[in-house]
Amino acid sequence: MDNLFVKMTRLSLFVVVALFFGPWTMNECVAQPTPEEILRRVDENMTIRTAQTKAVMTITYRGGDVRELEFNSWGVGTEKSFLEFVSPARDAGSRFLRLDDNMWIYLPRAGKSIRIQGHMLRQGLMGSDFSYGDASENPSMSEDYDAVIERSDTLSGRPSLVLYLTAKRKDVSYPSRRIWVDAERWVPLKEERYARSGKLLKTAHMSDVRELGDRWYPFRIDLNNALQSETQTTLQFIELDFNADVPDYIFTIRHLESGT
Amino acid sequence: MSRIGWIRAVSFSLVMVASIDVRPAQAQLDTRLSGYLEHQYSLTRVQDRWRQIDYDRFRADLNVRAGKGSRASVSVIYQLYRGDTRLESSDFLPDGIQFGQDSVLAVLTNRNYLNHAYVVLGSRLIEVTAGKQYLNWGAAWVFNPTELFRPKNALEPGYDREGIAALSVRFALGPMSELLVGFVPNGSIDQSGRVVRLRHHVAGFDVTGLVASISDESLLLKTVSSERRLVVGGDITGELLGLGVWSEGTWSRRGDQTWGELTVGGNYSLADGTLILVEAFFNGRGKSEGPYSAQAWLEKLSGTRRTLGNTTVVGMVRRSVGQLWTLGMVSLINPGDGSAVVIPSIAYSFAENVDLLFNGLLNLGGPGDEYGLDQIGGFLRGRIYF
Repeated sequence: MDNLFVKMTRLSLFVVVALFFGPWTMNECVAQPTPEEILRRVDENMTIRTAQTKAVMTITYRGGDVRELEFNSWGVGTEKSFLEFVSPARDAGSRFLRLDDNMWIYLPRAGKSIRIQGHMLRQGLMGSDFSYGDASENPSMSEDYDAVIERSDTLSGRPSLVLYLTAKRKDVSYPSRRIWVDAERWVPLKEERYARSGKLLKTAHMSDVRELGDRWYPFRIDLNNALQSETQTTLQFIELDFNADVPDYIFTIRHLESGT
Repeated sequence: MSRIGWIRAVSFSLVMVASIDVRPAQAQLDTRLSGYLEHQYSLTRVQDRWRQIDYDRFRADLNVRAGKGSRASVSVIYQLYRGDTRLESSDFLPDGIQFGQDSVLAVLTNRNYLNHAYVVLGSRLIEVTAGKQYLNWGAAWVFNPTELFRPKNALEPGYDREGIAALSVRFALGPMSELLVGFVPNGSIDQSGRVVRLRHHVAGFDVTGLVASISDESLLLKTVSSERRLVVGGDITGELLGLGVWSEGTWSRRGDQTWGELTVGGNYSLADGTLILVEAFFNGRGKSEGPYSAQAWLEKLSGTRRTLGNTTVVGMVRRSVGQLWTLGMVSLINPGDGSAVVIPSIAYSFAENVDLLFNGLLNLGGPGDEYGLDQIGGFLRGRIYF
């Protein structure tokens, strides 16, 4: 009986210790994933098979002025996306189509679509800190970048791993990036985007991370352009459907110009 | 067009309409009303005489999506003018060239009209658009040789343009490809325009080819040319060495006269967001230097000729400055006669749906040069969207 009591006491003690320090102990026991594995997990969360979204882009000016743009968007994989602004009245009906690296804008009052190309991709999307290039880049991190883990960190109360990314190809929008990845949910929480010279161009903060089915996804992105301090842009998703039925005809020049 | 040809064209249209997807319309109409109210005051000094023109412009757009593939769109414009509404020949033409017997070129009168009004019926493969619609083409920014029906105002290429009454059929050939066949009733059947335009995407470039037979229309004279013009052309746009580049050209034949028009251009953006755009336009009908004929001046004034010189260089610089301000500078230069027009602009986004714009205008050149008219001025425009 004494033996049994002693065994149970030891077992209870072990359970208490395990509950208190278990997560830490378990994390220490599990090998840290490789940078490639981290990027793959990030891609699993951030890249889409199909998606239909409603979002509001808020541009806040240093003087306090605020501009809000609401849009609907559709996407398939990393290759196809379509976006239509529904407000404000000035921009309603403006539409964007991206097919691979090709991007077009439709201007309803001109009744004409225009290709956005070359250096035009650096211009701000509807006056925001997001450039056309940001909107058109392929977001598959594991395909586009090599990564090294720099350190562990804590960001917004979340355990994070800081990775430095170097582009595998020359035609990506940013030759290097530094990302803070949530070490449990595998979503980026912060991202610094650099020019070839190493100069910081943009900083993005991701928050409002929600679980959607089998993935985590940030519903809010705050973007700062380091080259101009006049504005800050926030992208807030209102609705996100990652299993939407997105027909192929949406991603055509015809649909861009007709909207039907 | 012969009677048989006309019957063939009508039969062709009926066959295409019959092939349209006739799925029942969605129960709920998607209707959108939008538009703007604009006020503009312009003040210009032309040859030591100050002129003012003041107008109000109201535009209302109604767009209806009535089910898959079918929609309608109409835009109503009311425009009221005040000020020096009598446009004198001397305001636009050099000394010694006059339009008709009268020194008054035209009088700006209050207008109300449908800027566009069309219905669209279609399936995923074929779409028929009937009514006053936009047939605006071309990759170039200012000078578009392939735009046959409503030429841009070279001094403000981004401003609204009126549609043109037409029947057009678009055949989808792929996500980035389509074939357009258009018929533009204007004057008699023989004077009406016909156009076929193919759009395709090849090796990262958008490429179009166009064949058309049209009668040029003088918007100023309200006349349609009795001579047909055959036009063959196209454009290409894409990226080269990281720069956005485009080229657009046509070859035209009217009577025993033939000429070509070609535009090449590119853009460059500095790291701070400053956008630089350069475009060169070569006009086979233009002269390498002045003086230019009275006919050429009148054709340019009436919109049937893009430039007087055979080469025009366009430069544009635009940059956001401070909060909500955008500064710009556009210049059109005729290297042949050394004249130029400079258009500085300041745009201010006053509120979410309110724009303010100041455009200046300064001609630099001598008497008889393309941009040699002694002219300086500008306009202030406010626009509220709804």
